[in-house]
Parts: sequence; structure tokens; C-alpha cells
Amino acid sequence: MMRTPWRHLIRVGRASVCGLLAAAATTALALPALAAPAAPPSPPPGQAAFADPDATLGPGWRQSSDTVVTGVGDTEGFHIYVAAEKNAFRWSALATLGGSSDMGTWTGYTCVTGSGHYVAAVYAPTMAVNKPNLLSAGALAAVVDIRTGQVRDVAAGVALSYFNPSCGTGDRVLFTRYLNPDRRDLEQTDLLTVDAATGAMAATRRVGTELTTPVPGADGDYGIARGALVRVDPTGALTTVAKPTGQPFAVHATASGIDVVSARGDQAVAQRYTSGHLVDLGTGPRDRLQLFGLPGGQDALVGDVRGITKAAGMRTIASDQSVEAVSEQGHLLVQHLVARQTSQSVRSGGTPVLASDAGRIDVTVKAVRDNATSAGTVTATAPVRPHVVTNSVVAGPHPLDSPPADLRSPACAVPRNNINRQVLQPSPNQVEWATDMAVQGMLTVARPANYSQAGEPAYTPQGMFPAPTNVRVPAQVMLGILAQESNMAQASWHAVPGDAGNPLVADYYGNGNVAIDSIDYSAADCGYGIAQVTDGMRATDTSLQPTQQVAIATDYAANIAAGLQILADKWEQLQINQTTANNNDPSKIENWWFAVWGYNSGVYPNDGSNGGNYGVGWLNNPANPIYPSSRDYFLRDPGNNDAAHPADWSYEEKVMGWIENPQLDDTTPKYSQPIFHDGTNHMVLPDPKKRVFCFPSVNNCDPSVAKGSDPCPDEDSRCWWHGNATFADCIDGQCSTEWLAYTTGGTSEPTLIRTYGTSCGLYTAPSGERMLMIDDMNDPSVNLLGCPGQARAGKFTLEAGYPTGDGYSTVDGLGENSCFFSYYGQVDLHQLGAGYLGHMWFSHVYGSDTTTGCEVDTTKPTPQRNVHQVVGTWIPTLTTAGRYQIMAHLPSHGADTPDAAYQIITNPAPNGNPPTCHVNQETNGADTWVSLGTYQLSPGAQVQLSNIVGPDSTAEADGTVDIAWDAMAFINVPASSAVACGTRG
Amino acid sequence: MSNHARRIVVGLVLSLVSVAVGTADATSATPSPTPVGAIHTAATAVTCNGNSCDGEDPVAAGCTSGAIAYAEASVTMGTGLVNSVAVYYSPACGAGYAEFDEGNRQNDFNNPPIMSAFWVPQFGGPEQLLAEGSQNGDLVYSVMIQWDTSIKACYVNTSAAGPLDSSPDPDHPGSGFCTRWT
Repeated sequence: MMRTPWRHLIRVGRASVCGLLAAAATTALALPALAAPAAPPSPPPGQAAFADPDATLGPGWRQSSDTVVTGVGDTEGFHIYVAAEKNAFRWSALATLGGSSDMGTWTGYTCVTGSGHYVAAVYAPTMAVNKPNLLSAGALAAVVDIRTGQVRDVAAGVALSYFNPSCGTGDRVLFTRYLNPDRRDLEQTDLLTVDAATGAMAATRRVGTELTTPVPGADGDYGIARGALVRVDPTGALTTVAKPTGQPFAVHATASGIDVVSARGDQAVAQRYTSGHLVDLGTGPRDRLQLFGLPGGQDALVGDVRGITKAAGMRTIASDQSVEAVSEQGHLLVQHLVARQTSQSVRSGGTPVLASDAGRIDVTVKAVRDNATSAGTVTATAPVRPHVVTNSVVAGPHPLDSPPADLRSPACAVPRNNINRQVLQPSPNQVEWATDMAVQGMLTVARPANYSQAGEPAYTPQGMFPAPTNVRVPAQVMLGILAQESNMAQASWHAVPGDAGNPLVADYYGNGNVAIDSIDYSAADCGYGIAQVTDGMRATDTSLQPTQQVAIATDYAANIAAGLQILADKWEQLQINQTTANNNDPSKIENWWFAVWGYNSGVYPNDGSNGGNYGVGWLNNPANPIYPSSRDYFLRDPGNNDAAHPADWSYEEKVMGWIENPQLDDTTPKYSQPIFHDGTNHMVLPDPKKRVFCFPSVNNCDPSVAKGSDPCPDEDSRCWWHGNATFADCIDGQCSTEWLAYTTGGTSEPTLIRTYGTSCGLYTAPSGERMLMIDDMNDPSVNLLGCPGQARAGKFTLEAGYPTGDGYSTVDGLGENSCFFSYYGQVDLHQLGAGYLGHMWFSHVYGSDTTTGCEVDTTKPTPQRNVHQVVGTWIPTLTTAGRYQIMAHLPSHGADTPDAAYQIITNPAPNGNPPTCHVNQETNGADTWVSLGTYQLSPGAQVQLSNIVGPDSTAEADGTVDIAWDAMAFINVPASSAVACGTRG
Repeated sequence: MSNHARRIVVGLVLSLVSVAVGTADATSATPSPTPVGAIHTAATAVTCNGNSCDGEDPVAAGCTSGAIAYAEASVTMGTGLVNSVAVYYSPACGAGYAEFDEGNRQNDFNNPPIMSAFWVPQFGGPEQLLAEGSQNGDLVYSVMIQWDTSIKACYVNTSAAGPLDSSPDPDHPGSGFCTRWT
């Protein structure tokens, strides 16, 4: 397949060549006069470097300036990687954007500017592809200086799309944002222009239609709108300059003109717009001709280029397979580039991918010179640079300096970090069982009163959310939706199967899960759990009872039952609209195409509203040019890295891909494939290359690819589809049907397969001394792992923000201002069903740099990174002074900071800095007790642990390293006793 | 960081302009050590426990008996007298409260300091006012809050230059100080 071809650009290598040469010269001078000069040292092996670059890359590789830069996302963020030929194409990390998110992995796109100095990136949590508003305007934009790694945030609220960002001949970068992508008369595109050299927003233009594949040309900006190549003037007005042949999927501005590659039937047609005309450059196979932009006003066509005519500024590089990126001078093709966590999500499924694999990417490259390949794992990471919301370019979330009026009332019905709203992460076998039972109307497992320690009355999932009566849903349709919506997770991705965690809530804070420094509850999504149920899940909603809201948030089985109702309702709405697929037999999975489409972006009723348009929207129409017309079926080719850039496909294409190719655990599917029609291992789905959902009298959409470059130039509600579409012959047995792994046992839940064991043993003092135990909540029995309780002898509290608790008042006119940091400090605080007696808290380690801006008194420093401060305090109930050995519990996972600084405050009014015990919280997977030392304690003594470690430059202070607060034991020991800080056991 | 004190003490601020310049008697804004473990001994029948003590007067509810200072902060005034604030834990009631001891009160008629006390929910959130006032307004004890919260007491120096801040933080010296969250 072809994808995002021109975005993976390259740059000219620079100064570091001098370093190598200088080193070589120094070495030579030190040798005897007659000795032959020593060969320059070879780059260290590994990181996917070529092992024998002299043979593979040729004799000049050390002096080469050829370089490739591209991006890959995982749970740690969106990583920008660079590999230079002078280093034998050894890969290293340039920057990491994003940071920890409740929603798992990140995805994104990159391009390199014409100067080769900057890489622009658009990135977002992968879950954004399931949210039409986030897909259209929910990603972040940044520019990274390739020479220094310096990151500049340039915008929030941009589209996650294969052509965003777009680079051209200079350092201007275009970013795209879509407003109201489905609505007639409201379809608009914002085109943001950024100077990559300064990071400044040069202009924002509003275009009155859907503009795709914009490019910054030497003589102005161009793009595709209403099927034509258009020029965008400074006001956003469009002027049609040419009509490309077919549907463009790659556009790039060169110094010699605007190059366009379009899909026309099975062909890819390359054309150049120059001197007011389109000139044909030739054709190739539709899925074997890729266009990559290059610095210096050039580009490259890669693939089957035998039919391509040479053109000024255009390189042609033959390749027998699609590639991810090309180096600047064409010496290297990147054939395969995928984050280890992404390949795991496809291969091993379930939830979540391992945090320890963050920053590991698998790379396969090919040297063009001799076709030699090099494959390897790259493990380098760069410090994470969380997005900082700044200045006027921000759209969407509120910046810190203008907090919304009311942060006290979250929009979503079921809160985070509530110990009575813990969620057990199910294992995949449980998910398939619940799905199979639900579709059969048998999901009646008893949930007793106080299930999940939620304090709610007893229920059964389908007693609370009855099975649909209008239609029987095939199990695999629901399973495919669950895979796409949540990667089959009911709890936050931080919880592995068997752990408890916070509810999985999409965009709880209304910041798109991208800017952890912002909160805008008005924009919250409130999609809960494994099926991402949003209906009725806002705090103000009354369509669901509070007990139902809690069940949807905390119980995967109830969530599946509710999601099934929603899916069946979409089917029903489409029946009323007479919008059907194939023969409309609901037992055939292919016939659920439109219902799946509607599950994501809704079904518009045929009630005369919206100009009489109805059915399913334009956003998810596979013919929409926001998806590359060169793409193949999602996940069908295992050699492709489709899961790394899911925004290239419509929602229903992705779900059907997950049905065909279930997530696997090594070779074992985590859920069952359907029964395919005879002799095949796939379904009969609409060909992405064809405009199946286009018909002039239905949605003004031209089904003939050859005739028009854009099937529905209106790009608005007139493009909505209704009516029947036939793409599979279900009557003649072409279609697939469900396979049930579980046919009975709706009242008997399968055993939870835990990733980690539980730690429920009660701790006692080694020599039976009197001990004061303080767990991280008052009643440790409020856990979902079945651990017993234990009497407490003190209290544990958490305070968030800087100063902790900040948020009491608003602007007061006296030079002081509350910045609401206590609210922001909660964003990266999490509870986890792990650690001592099955519950702990964790956050990430941050630096403490300050800036000015929040306070009305601008001379007063305002926390920058330490807005995310979380302080945990353990206070034993002491009435008399005594000597105590203090023991802290470290959980088996969720804690890996090498320097947790526990402060021991020994009396109510300490003088000077208190003693501090520095502990490495990493335990190599074993629950561990560690001594904080032995102290004379008075009543009022306390132990404190903060996640702020020092300046931002401090190692580990990038917001990705876990720090945990768990149980603390105070053992009353003899005066002579002394156990050193850090002693384990 | 916050300024709930503004409404209450605004008159005091105005009076400082004409009276207090050059007469502020605080010699140090740095809390100094004080004896630890002060325990109240007056005995009264206990009438509440835990969250049933929220908002109750600690003396009237009988909670000061056996109460222990778990956090203290103080300043020695130019007179040599000590002004202090403290957070007390009442084992009898399972609740906490703040106490204000203005040893310098007799020398401090025009710009009396105030105490403001705050609490935060157990697992975090915005600080919320427990009590605020001066001893001229008869504030000695705050009302109570259940002990599972975080509690702090702040001393606000109304004679300090600049804006008043009823919840002074370490980044803004001059307006006062607070005990640790306890």
C-alpha cells in the first residue's frame, strides 16, 4: 500500500561530520611518522546501523550528509528519530512529544522543512481516531530543531490526518484543522501557517470548504478542494488552477512546481503543475508509487517508477515494496518502522502493552546502492517534552492563565481517583465471554451489592441493560468494536489485566488527552470503558440512573451490554432510514458496515432536517479525501504498519480489520475470528480503491474515480449516504458469520488471567514490636483484589498542585491569583489496584522549573512543570515520643523512579531541612519493603514524598518515570536500634 | 496563594497606610522552634466523632481534652513575645482544628495579625477555608474538620508590605507563613 508518502522527509547532515574528522586527525598525529593513517573509528553497532557500511553504503559514507528523520508513537509519547549515513544510519532519538496519558499509545505524522533544519509533527493519543471531534481538531502540533532537539509547541487542536503537517520548499509549515466536518453549510477548514524557524504562527486562514493535502509552495499555498488543485490566497479564498487526473493522495511543492500523485482505478498518476498547466509525468501501480518530499525544493517518487518520466527536481527510486521514509539523497529506504508496543497491540492484543517497551522501535532499512537490508531494534529515547499550552495559537483547552470559571464540577458522571470507583481490568477471555453471552441475551452473571466496592445495589449486566430485541448482533462485530474503541480495556491503560485502576474515560478533562496542563470540562468526551459508552455518561445526563452510570464505568460486562444496546439502536435507526448493506441479513457481518459507521459518527434521521440529507455522515465515508486513496484494507497485509497510523482509515474499515485479524497472543487469538466464506481468511469488504458509497442521486458523490479527483466536492452533509449499498453477495454465501467461543455459562464468569500476582499478605514487625501501619487509604479492604483489611494507626493524605491545595480563590485584585493548580495536579495522579493490600497511588516524576505568568503579580514565579506536584503524607497517630524504624512498601509495578526522596519530619515544628531517605523504587517485579531509617519521633511526626525532583533538567524528570505512594509501617524499636535507609526486606 | 482575608481585613490594610509605617513590630518572618507536643488538658464531655465534628466548636464539643499539636509555626515579635498557629489532633474526637496564640496581642491593636486555617480532602483538591480572623475578633480556635483531611494553619502578617495573602506560600515571603499540611 502507499501511505503518507511525502511527509517522511529528510535533511542535510551537518556539523557532527567535523567532529569525526577532527578525531581522526588527532589520532593520526599521534602515530609514528611512517605509519599508515588509522581508519576512522566505525560507529558503534546496534540501533539498526549497517554492520558493514563500507560495503553497503560505499566508500563515501563517512562524509555523507544524507539523513532520515521520522516519528513513531508509543505509550511514552510520539518519538522523533533521526539516522545519519555518516553514522552508518544508526538511529537515535531526537525528541519525544506528549507524555503519559490515561489512554495509552500515541500516533502522529511528521514532515521536514525545505531547509532540512526542522521537523514538524502532529501527534495525539491513538484514541483520538475514534473521536470525530478529536480526529478533526484534537491533535497537537510542534516543531523540532533537528540540529539541537529543541521543541517548540506551535498549536493545539489540529487535524490528525495523513497530510498534516505539510512542509514545502522553505521553512513555512502548514497545519490543518477541520470544523464541523459533517455539517452542510458549516464545512470549514482552518489553515495554520507556522514559521518553523521561530515557531511563530504567521497566519490562520479559514477556508469555506474541506481543503485536503495543502502544501506551502514557493509562490503560494496550494491544496485540493472540490476535486481541484487550488491556490489559497492570504484571505483563505480559493482559486482553481487545475484538475488532476483521479483522486490526489500525495501533493508536494517543489522548486519546479507542484507535484501531484492521484489514484485512478488501479493506477497512480503522477503530474506536475507548472507554468499554469498540469504536465503528466507518468503512471505506476496505485499501491506502488509513493511521493516523498525532500529538502531543497525537491521530491522523490518511490516504487515501480518504470513508467515515470524524469523531471527537474524529482528523484525516482525503484522499490519492490512500499516504504515508510526515504533519506534525503535517496541512499536509504525505510521499509519497516514500528514501535514495539504497536506491534504488540496487533500481535498480542489485550491490554496494555508493556510500559517497559516504550521507546523501542523495530526498524528495517534498505541501502539503495546494493539493496542490502539492515534490521534491528532501536532503544534510544529522548526526554519527553509534554505539550505546553501557550499563547494565542491555542484553540480548545484553556491555558493555565485563564482557567475556566468552574473546575469544581467535572463533566463526566463517574470521577477519577475515587477509591469507590475502582475498575478491574478484565482479561481477554472474559471480554469474549461477556460479548458472546451478551449477543445471545445470556449475560446475567450476578453482580452482588457493593460489587467493585462501589456501594451500589445488586444487578446483572443484561438485567440492567437488556439484550436488544430488534436484532441479533454477531459477536465478532461487537468484538471488533471493542478492539478498536479501547484495545479491550475497561480500566485506564495503566492497569494490566488483574489490576484495578481508574475508569477508562476518554478525554475526562476536555484536553483531548494531549495537554495535561489544561482542563476544559465543557469539551470532555466522557466515553467510558471498553465500548466507550458516551450516551448518558455526562454528569448532567438524566437518561441513565447513577447506578447505571457506575456500572458502565466500573464493570466491563455491563459496559458491553450497554454498548450492544447502542449498536443495535444504530442498526434500527438505519433500518428506518432504509440504509442497508448487501442483503441486510443481520447474521452476516459485512451487513453491519453502516451500523458500525454510525456507532462512531452517528446516524442522521430522515426527518427533513439538515436540508433533507440523512443517513451516515461524510467523515467516515471511505471516499472522503481525508483518507489516502492509495490505501489498502486495514491490517490485511501483515507487512504493513497499519496500526501505527490508524487515521489513514475510516472507523468501519478499522473495525472490520480487527474482525478479520484479531489481536493475538503470540499465535493464539485473544478473540475468535468469524466464519469466513469458503476458502478464504477474510471478509468481502468495500474496496478502499473504489467509491462504493457514492451515487450522484444519493449523496452528490461521483463513483467514477476516473472522472473526478474528488467524489463529493461539497464535502458536507450533501455527501451523507443513505440507501442500500451492495459490496458482497451474501445470498450466494460470500459473507461471514459469527463464531461463538462461549455458548453457555452466562452466569459463570471465566477466571481472570492476571498479569501480576496479588500481594495480600499482612506485614508484621520482624521481631514482633509494636507497629503502626498506615496504608494509602483508610480501609485497605476497599480493594478489588480480594485482600483483607488491616487496622490503621494514622492517616495518609494526598495534596496536589503547587503550592499544594492551590485553588481556593480566583483573581482577587490584590496582586495574587489562584492558578487552580490543585486541580491540574490531579490530571496525572492515578490509583492502581496493586501494591500492599491491593491499592496504591502513582504519578510521574517532574522537574520544578518556574516561570512567570499565572500570577497577577508577574514578578512572582509560577510553577511550570511542578504544577503536577503530588505530595503524599503519612502521619502516625503518636501520643508520646519514641524511636521508630520506618518501613515503606514498594509495589511490584507502577514505581520505577531511582530516587524517591522520602522526607522524615520528626516533630511538629522542625527546624531546618528534615532528614531525607533516597530510595530506588524499582523492585524488579516483586513487592518489597524498604527501610527509611530509624528516628526519634514526636507526636505530629510525618513522612512526605513528592514527585518533584529538582530542575527540569534533572534526569528522570520528564514525566514518564513512575513514582508510587503505598503503605508505611512505623515500628517502635529500642533506643539502640538502627536500620539504615535503603535496607530492603 | 489565596486571599479570602481580603474582605475581612480590608479596613486593616487601609489603616496601615497612616499608622503602621515604621511601626511594624515583627522582627522575623521565619518560624522559630517552639516546644513540641503541647497537650490540652481541659476535660469536657465529647459530643462528636470524625465527620460529625465537621464545623463544630472544639471546646464546646469537648474535643480539646487530650488534643495534641501535630504542627506548629510561630514568629517572635519585636516585643519578645511569640505569636503562633498550630494544628491540633483530637484523639477523643478523631478530628482536627487550628489554634491561634497571639502572645503579642496587647501590643497589636491597629494591625493585628490574623489566622486562617484550611483543609483539603484526603486525596487532594482545592484548599477550603476552615476559619479566619484575628484575636481582636475573638478567633482562638477554628471549627473542626475530620482528621482524615489535610489541615494547615496560617499566620497572616497584616502589617507586611504588599497584598495580603491568607494562604501564604514560601514563594511569597512577607505576608506570613503556614504550618505544614497535617
